[in-house]
Amino acid sequence: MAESAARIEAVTRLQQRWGAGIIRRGVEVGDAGLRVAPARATGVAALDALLGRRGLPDGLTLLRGGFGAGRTTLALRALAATQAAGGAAAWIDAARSFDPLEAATRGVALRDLPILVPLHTGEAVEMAGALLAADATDLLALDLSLVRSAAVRSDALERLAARARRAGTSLLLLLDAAVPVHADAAVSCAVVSWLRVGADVIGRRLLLTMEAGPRTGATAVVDVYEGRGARADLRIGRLPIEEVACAPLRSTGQH
Amino acid sequence: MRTLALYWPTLSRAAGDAGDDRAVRLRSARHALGRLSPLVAGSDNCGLIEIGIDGLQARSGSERDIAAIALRAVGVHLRERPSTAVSSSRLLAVLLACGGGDEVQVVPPGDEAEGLAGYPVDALALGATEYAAESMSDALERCALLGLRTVGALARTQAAALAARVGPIAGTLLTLARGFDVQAIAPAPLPRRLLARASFEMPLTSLEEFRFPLRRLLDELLVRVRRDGAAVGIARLHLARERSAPVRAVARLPVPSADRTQIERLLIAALERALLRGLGDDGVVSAQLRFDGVLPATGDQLTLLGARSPRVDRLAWSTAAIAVRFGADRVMQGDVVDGDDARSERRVTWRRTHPEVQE
Repeated sequence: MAESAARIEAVTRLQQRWGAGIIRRGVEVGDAGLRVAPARATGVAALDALLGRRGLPDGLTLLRGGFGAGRTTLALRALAATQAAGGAAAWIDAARSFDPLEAATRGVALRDLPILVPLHTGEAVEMAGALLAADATDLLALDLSLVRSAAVRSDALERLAARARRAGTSLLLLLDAAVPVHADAAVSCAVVSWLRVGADVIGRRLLLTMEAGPRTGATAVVDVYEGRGARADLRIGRLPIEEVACAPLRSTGQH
Repeated sequence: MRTLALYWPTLSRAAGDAGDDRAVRLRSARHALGRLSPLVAGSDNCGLIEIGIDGLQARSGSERDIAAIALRAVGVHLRERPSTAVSSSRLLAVLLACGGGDEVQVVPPGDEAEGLAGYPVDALALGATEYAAESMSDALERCALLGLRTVGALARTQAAALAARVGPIAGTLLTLARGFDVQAIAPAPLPRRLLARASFEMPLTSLEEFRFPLRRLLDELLVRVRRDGAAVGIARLHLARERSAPVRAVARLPVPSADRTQIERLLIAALERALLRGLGDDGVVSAQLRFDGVLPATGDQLTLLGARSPRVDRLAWSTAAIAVRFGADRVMQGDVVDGDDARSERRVTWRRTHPEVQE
């Protein structure tokens, strides 16, 4: 009883000092978590479950991973989900690798997606700053893949993150360079196996790990099919899939 | 209605001449006349402008005085002096103006039929432009076959007899021939120009300082724009400096708008581009803001069919500002042409999202 009273007092003191949101109850990601539609969905149920009830947070979300790790696919799905909810999204293509066909395949409405093409990383950060200052996007994807880590200034990125927080915008940063940035959420992506039907490779199995955010350390598995849009994905999804053995996982989803 | 017709024969030549800027000059002249009367009719293809001048006498004096005011107003834009006529019949005013002459020709009210009587019947085609050219020329040809070769001869015929021979257009022909109008001047909504100026005792040496007077100028003009339910197409800023050449910035708005914040952003972006090194020591001593192409705000529609973030509209403006600052080729839009084409370069196409920002 005394322990309970002390705990309540401690919690009250913490909440008075830091605000009501400082203490949260831990939730295990399970099937029920996958069914909850977050406020700002990513379009990938397993990633939504990792990010929590609010989905993509206001501020900076990092998507890290090597070449072909599925960062772009996840970002495009998030863009498509934002557009489907009536939001405004933009893509800053510092990597010069944006593929409209791939984006359309993942459900992005190209007509409503401006692609900003900066000359260098500094210009990309300036463009992102201008969009955030104007409070013009719900989701802004900044693709700095293939950019040398020396060219990316972490202080500039953190200023962008602060702007995004103030504007209530999700800034999705795609990185493969090891840049030390304090993010509101960070997800690392890695391919754990190929999905194949007979001799044909039809997709990848991705392991997503939360490196920072509300559920740091949690993992989820996402299957990404290399189809032409949702109908093709569905068709492929009904086929038997041969899976390569992979590490034990806590939650799964298919995309 | 008393109508003043101005006619420039040199501006009615075939289009496509070298250095042909007559459409722009005629439009400017119509802008200028819009201050005299709200009823101004004319087109960019023909050097003829008609002005409804009923009710202006109390303010501007006699009809000759009004004609002199009109000539002064258009003289800034069109150096040639037009031939001018005033009549209660639009048709007669146009015919007299087209006939030429240095003096202003004024037909007293009631003398229109007499003035028209000597013209050939073909002249009536100028007064009834709502009819298809074929049906009008057919009717006038029938009149000629019946021996009605002048407007006066046609005016003396009986309406029923003429209708039996040329059809329902007879009523219109007779009305015109007897000196009455069949069409009032229905002016197209004129794109207006609005201007505001400000001068500064202490020269402004930074763009941040300039934001506040710019907002004041924008507010001053946008009050007038909104009052008329209008929107702005182009905003032009002219900054005079102490020593060096003036700075000009133009913001072509992606959609006509009366939103101060968005216009300000685009203007500042255009200024930043024009002044890459900033203003420096050479401060701004006066500023002039001009809105061109002020039109009724008919483009904005309510959002239908589902939720839509207010940021969707802001995004277009913000990307336009980025295009102004960094170049139109930095904001692109991709589209899928044929996803199955064997050549990858033909599968998708790219285009500029804001081609209009390139001057």
